[in-house]
Amino acid sequence: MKKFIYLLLLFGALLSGWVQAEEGEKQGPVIASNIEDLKNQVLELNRDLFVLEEELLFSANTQVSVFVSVDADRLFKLDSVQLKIDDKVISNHLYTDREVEALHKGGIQRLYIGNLTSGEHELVAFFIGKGPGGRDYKRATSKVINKSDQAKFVELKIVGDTTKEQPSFEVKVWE
Amino acid sequence: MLVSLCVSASDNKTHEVKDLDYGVSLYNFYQDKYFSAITSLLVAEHYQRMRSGSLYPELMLGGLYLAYGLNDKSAAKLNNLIKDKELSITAEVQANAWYLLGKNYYLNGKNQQAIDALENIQAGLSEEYQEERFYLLNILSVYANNEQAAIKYLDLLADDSVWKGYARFNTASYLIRSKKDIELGYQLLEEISSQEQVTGYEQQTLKNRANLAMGLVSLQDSDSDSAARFFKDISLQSFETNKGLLGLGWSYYRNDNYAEAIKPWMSLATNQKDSDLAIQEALISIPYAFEKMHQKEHALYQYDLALDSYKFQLEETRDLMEFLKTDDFIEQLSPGGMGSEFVPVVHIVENFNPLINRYMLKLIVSKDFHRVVEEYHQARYLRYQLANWQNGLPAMKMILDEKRKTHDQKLTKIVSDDSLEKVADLKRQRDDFYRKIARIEDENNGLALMTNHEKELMGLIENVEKNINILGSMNEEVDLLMNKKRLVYGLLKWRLETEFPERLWLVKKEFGMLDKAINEMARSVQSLKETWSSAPDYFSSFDKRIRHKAEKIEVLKTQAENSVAYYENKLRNMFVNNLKDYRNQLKLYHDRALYSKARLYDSLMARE
Repeated sequence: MKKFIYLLLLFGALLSGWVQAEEGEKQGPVIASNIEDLKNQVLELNRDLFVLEEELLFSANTQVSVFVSVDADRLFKLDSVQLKIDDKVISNHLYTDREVEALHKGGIQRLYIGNLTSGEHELVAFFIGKGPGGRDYKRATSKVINKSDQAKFVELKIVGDTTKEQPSFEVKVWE
Repeated sequence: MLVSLCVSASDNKTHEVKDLDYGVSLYNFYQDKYFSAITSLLVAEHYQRMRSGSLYPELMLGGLYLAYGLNDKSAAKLNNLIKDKELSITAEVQANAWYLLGKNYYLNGKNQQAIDALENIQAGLSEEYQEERFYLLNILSVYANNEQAAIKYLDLLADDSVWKGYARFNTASYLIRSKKDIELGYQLLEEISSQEQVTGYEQQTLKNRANLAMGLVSLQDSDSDSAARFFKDISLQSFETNKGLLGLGWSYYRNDNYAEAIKPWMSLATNQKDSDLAIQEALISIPYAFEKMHQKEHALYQYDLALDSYKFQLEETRDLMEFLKTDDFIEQLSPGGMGSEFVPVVHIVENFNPLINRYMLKLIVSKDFHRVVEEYHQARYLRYQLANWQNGLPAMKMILDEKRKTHDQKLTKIVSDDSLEKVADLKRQRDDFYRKIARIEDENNGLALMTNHEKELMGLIENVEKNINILGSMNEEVDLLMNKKRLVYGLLKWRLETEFPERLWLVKKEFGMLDKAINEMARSVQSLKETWSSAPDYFSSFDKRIRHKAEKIEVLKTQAENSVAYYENKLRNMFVNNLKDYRNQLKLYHDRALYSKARLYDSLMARE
């Protein structure tokens, strides 16, 4: 029964446009204008608060952000990432299936935002997941980054090397 | 997903990242987190972080607004993209912008504007969206009662396109209902129903629906044989199966083949876990057929079975009705905690009281329920987000106070530092030095640029001269010394004069460096002073912003609370009304069965 309901839900959504046509209804979601207005206002407020938070807590001269991207087709399925800066664990993330799917489609995850003093810092990232053939896979990559008085953006890239049929792990510093 | 965004990381299999924030937005979008996806883009826009110059982020924002139900904002954004960027926009972005705009108008019931927008697309739309575009134009033409355009767009759809089936069905329904071209309508339905090979649920369901429609039409036309043929072609595990079995029974019944009619109805009647009205209809149809076969005892027995079933269902639905009025029902609408930005409907359904799944299946698979429950979760997420920020603001205020305290402490130290006063003194010295160099240059005074060694040498020469003067012109040796002194002096002077421009240039160069260092220092001091003077404003502006946001959150929280309550009420009413309708139908069947049973009793009594 559960499976049947699931299929109906899935299918009901796929057929939505057609059902409307069949019933000859006026299409489109009818949202009360005050709710639309509320959404709008909360979105603007959310943006302002993110800006406020960033200005207050992560000013450009100390800010460092770390992102994760996957361009490995199906050579690597990410389970978790651990991030260390100067040998101190600053972030751990366990991925859900939806998050992994979003990364594989080209989405980029902001893994960490924090502050660093000017100068050199060592960044180490550990990737745990399933490699080719579904085998357990754990790799680390590191890079020394030089923090200037500009905000620093670091991308941890999981890239598929199709010639070797292996994933590779890179660190790219955005200027 | 209500709206596809026509955007992706790239057309290729590999994704080249051009803008990190665009990627972050995509990451949220692919998880149906529209609120977060929009916020990522708005924050990036604020900081002007999109450096690639690509217009895809703007296109995506327009699409995200649409997906999030902000239709006016979406239309404004897309229109702006099309008009303002007309010169720089690529054909691909333009086509996608028109497409999203058309879809926006379509979803808002602005049909003519939707047609105009979709017809504006020249090139650049991917094949997948092109097919959907033709489908939309087909359906919009149906709404506009323009059968010629509807058929034109139907013909433009590729035969293997999934949209072709929908468009065929819509066009057929329209042509038959409006009686504009019944023959073509039938022909289109036949095309769907006669498909030998169907792949996937969508095509199978379309085929089932077409068969169902053709079967019902044939029944209306009293063509029971054809009707039975169409009903038999409906697959046995689908949403249309029950209606198909019921129709098949009626096809036999119309041909007076009651024994055959009972078979599909019996099959329906044994499926008691389902609450489809077709089953309830079958329950009462079975005894009718037995009556027709003059098997009155059997009929009576079947009426009793039907009555038992109706009574049982009426009791269960009464309990369910009570349940729908409780808070437990509302809780079941929100599995997965408060902070979930996206809650898949299937998770809600899994969490439901089993009676809801049994009696309200039609409602929970309906588009209406999906839309309202999605909006309900959006409202809940807004409320959660506001509460979250409200809890976070005191921490921000604390950090601000801490920063202010640190600043004040540092300020006291810096203000009492003597080195700041030295800057003015250094500037004074620099000015004196500058004047001195200018004078040397004016006077072309090479002697002024002597090195220490040369100065010592000059002193030595002067001493030698003094001593010679004391000795006077006494003999040849003194004259010789005097000549030597003149020679050395001449050499030194010659060197100083010839090297004067080079020495002056070196002095000026060093002066320039000194000047730069002093200016740098002066600038730092100035910046420090500005920081002192602006710090109070800086901190108070943060204070104001935090206070202002806190007030705004308070106002919006009430609105969010009201929205959540509005949707809870709406969902409850949807379920209650749907169940009421079902119960009313059940009562009707119950009364009909009761009446028929009484009638049958009377006839049996009369016979005895």
